[in-house]
Amino acid sequence: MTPFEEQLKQAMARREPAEDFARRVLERADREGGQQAESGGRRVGGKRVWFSALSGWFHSPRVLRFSAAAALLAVSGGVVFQQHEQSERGEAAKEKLLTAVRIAGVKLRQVHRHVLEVETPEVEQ
Amino acid sequence: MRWRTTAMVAAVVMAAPLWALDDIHTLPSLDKLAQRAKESVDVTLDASMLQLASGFLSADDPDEMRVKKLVAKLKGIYVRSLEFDREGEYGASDVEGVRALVRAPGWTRIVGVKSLKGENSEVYVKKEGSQVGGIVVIDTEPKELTIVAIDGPIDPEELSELGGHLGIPKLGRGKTKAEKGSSKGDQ
Repeated sequence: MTPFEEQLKQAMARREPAEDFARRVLERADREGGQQAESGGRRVGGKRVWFSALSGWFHSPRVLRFSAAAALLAVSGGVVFQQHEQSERGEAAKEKLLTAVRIAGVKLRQVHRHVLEVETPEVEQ
Repeated sequence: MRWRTTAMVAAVVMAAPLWALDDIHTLPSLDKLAQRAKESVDVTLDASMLQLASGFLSADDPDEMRVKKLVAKLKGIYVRSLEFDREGEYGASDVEGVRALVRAPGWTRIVGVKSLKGENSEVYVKKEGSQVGGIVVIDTEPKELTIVAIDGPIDPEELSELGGHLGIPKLGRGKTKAEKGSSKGDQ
């Protein structure tokens, strides 16, 4: 390994964040969210304060996390439902196919039997 | 004007073999009969449904693997089977609609059997070069009418190999009337 590669490896090595990193990020996000809501309210002269507050609420990390989890759940639920539906359609199609092949086979067998049974079959070529 | 007429006639002639099998399951006469039938089976599997169904056939089951091999190249399978309580619930005109479909160019009737008991069978095949490109079986009995249409290249030998499996009687050399008579006499 060359010195450059060694440096690169050290630079890219995984480092654990400080213990209070998550708390600081959340506090800062809350603070910035509040500031955005306040500045939005001032800009429109109080008429759309409720909208800014709602917007701020939607941008809060907790709501974002919940929304992401709900979206993930909906998508995975949809995929599972689609797979289940596809499986049911496939099984139904398989049963239909086996029924069709069974009837076709039985009928061809009957024709074969008729040809043998009837004394003067009308066979065209 | 003449070229338009020629083009229309050519289009109809070329389209005839295409709609022939697809239309078997939508024949109005069969739908009317189905309402009077005691039991009715209607199976319509086009190419996409056949592909879907094939994907669900088990590789561990030899019978299902035979079916998978059989339907691999098929474009569709259509089955209409009607069973009635009484005789005379359907007439020759009801079946005529199906026969009309296999009068399209390329179709040949290879078997036509009429029995005194009213059990009649007809087999039509569509020839595509040296291969069979489709089969239609029309089986009429006093209380039963069955139409099977298989669209696509099919080897009748492969279908006969299914005999003895999936509840299909084994295709072998059956007993003729004379043989049956002699076997009765032996008993």
